[in-house]
Amino acid sequence: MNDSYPANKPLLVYDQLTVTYLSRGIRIAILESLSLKLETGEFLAIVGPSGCGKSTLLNVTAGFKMPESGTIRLKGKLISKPSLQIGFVSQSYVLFEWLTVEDNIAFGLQSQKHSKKEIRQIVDNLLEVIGLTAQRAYYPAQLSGGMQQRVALARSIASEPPVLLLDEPFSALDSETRIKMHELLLRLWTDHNTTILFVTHDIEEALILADRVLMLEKNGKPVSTRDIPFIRPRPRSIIHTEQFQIMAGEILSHYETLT
Amino acid sequence: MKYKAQQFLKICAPFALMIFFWIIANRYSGVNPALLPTPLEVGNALKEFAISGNLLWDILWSLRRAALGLIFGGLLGLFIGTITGRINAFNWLFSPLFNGFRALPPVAIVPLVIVWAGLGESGKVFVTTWAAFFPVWLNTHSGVSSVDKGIIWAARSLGARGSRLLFGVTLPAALSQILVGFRLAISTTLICVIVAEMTGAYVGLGFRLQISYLVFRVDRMLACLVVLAIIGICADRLFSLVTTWLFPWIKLRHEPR
Amino acid sequence: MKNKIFLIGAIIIAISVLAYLLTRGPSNDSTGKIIIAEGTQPIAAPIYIAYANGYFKDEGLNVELVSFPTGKFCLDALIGGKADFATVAETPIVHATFKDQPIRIVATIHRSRKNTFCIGRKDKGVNVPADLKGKIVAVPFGTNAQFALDTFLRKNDLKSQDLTFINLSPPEMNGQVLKGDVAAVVAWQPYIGRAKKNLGDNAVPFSFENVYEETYNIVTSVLIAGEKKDIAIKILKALDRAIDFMKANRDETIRIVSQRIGMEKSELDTIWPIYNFGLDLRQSLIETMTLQGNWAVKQGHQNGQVPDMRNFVSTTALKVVKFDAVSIKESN
Repeated sequence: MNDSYPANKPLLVYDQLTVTYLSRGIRIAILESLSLKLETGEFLAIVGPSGCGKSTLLNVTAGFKMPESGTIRLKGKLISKPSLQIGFVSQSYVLFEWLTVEDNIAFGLQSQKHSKKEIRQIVDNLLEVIGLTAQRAYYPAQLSGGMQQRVALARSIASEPPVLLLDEPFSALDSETRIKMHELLLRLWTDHNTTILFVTHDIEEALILADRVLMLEKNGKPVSTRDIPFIRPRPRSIIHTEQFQIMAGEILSHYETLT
Repeated sequence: MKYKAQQFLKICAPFALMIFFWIIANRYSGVNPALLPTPLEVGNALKEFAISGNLLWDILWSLRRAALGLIFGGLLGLFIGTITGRINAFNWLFSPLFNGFRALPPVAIVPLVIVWAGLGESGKVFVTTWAAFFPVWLNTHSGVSSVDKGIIWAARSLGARGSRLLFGVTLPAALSQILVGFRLAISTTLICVIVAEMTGAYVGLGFRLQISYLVFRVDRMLACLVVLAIIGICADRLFSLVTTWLFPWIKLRHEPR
Repeated sequence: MKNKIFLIGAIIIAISVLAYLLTRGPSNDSTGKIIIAEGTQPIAAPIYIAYANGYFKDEGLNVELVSFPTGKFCLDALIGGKADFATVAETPIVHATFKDQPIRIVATIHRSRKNTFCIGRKDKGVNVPADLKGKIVAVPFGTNAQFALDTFLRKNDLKSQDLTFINLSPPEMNGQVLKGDVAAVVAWQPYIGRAKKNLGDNAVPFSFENVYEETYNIVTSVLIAGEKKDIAIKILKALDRAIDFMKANRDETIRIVSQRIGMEKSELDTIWPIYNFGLDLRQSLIETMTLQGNWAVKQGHQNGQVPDMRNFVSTTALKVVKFDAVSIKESN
């Protein structure tokens, strides 16, 4: 990121964000007056029961949907439409099936001012990081689910967006692949110092990956955040420690008591 | 060797079956033999056509008219389908009109076209263009308007806008549906070229078919139909090959990894 | 969901049954109806008059007339079993004889040398027949107009290969005479007359009077000509009566015919003198048909030997109605 936004100011600011939808003539709130500040390079996990607005929050942040009221500002500027500033990886990957792996990854770069040589270099690097150099000329239909998700990650990180949104990106993968994807994501995160919002329904996944966890509630009721105290790097074994299990249990029971 | 022999038999079998039933109908159905010639008679008529040189010119002219119609109608359908599929105002203004015209059978418009455009090539190419336009328009419209929102979102958050979004994302995403339209257009154009040639022509498969009817030569009519069927099959195969070569990923959709 | 499927199925069946019942016409055998397929032309007048004046009814026949655009279609209806009689010029019949179709001519009802002719376009450089060389001529294929044109060309030292022929049926010849590349058209009245009128000063008529005498004939199935010849006899009796009426009542005839085929009375009145109605079976019919048979083979329309045309004429019925009108020696 080569602009001059001061690194100590909050990068992403949500101010009284309210998102509603119309159901049989009645306005129903998904998110209500949500306010939140994210620092540069922060990793935020978003959890909550289904229907509580996790995806909606991401969609509004990405500029895909408009809020009823309230604002989201990135580096002080209002977000009103999608742009290269906010990367997005969805649960269903949505790779461009008519482009090869390397062309998919290069897609965002072509909207920026890069020379062909630069683009090739960036793509080569990413291919190596995600371990798909040999498959660079494949089409998405020829790849397994895990491979496709790796390409999706590389594609959104290639243009170095300040903010990256991921909507349950690994939930369709088997546990072994998921562990590898965690490693990959964390590596990309530290390499590029991106601010990440990561939606998941898996509390353990949230605690392993994030700095903070945002807990959303159904029908737009007030949200809360918890800081995640575990020091990085976090080995896999941390899941079995007492501290980890207690925190996970707390969050789980929080949601259980509400039903 | 055995596999190839098997493949060959597989291809020939349906036709052999049809000829078998045909011969049975000739012998035992009691149908007026003038109305149902034998396969041999049809074969002879075909030979007659080939030797007289008529066959080649008929095929070339009919193909020319069909191809021109396919190109003009296809491009027009692609263009307009993209507009009505993406821009709401154009959709509710024009789509009902096109749907209405689409319902008109080509047989009905040929006399009208002759009155307006005369007996020349332009009238015939108009009819084939008409035939190609509607399937391409409809399928392009359908494909373009139903592109997965997620793809558009992903593209926009990767900085794609305006013409890059249209040509680089929307159209490729709609491509398999658009190709369905073109494939249909191939068969409708071939049908319409026959219809267009039945009046006011002096060369072409449709012309040959019609004048054979007028002198009571059903064997010649069937010969024309055989040629037409072969052309239809070849055109379809060619279309498949070309689209697979141009757009390799479309086939991949259906192949297991 | 199952209920919806049953409901839709029931509706479809109901509509199909209704459509079938409503569109089913009376069938031939069950009501004893005699169907005459007629070619919507003034030269079918005896049929229109007989029908309008009730002569068929007087013979105890329940006749229904069905219109077709040309004689070829009438003949198709007869061969296909959808009609009992057809009106048609010789040429489509000649083509059918090569396929040995079970049809028999039972009478000629009209003859003319002026019904069919050619109109050339001055602006296309056609002033005399020789100018037709290298030009495009519109003619209805498979009809006697095609035969007449080929014969006319031969008589004017032109070969068929010298021209390009476009297949156009007479009803379609109107808008087109004025447009584009066609340098001449050949057809029968009233279409050819209309073409002449539309071209105005640009029209150059070429008469076919010296080409051949065309006939308009009543054709029926082998069955009716033979076993059921009573029907044929009655039809011919009614037609004979009609022709007598026509000779004595020109204005009334023109009124009936023009109304029947949708023509202007004045237009028909002008053309009327070229028509010659009369019931007969002449030897010249056999000669003309044989001539056309040879022509068909020579032009490549048909293969093989020209059939003996006498096999496709049945004089039995006409002999009963009007013995002197038959001058053919038939071979059955």
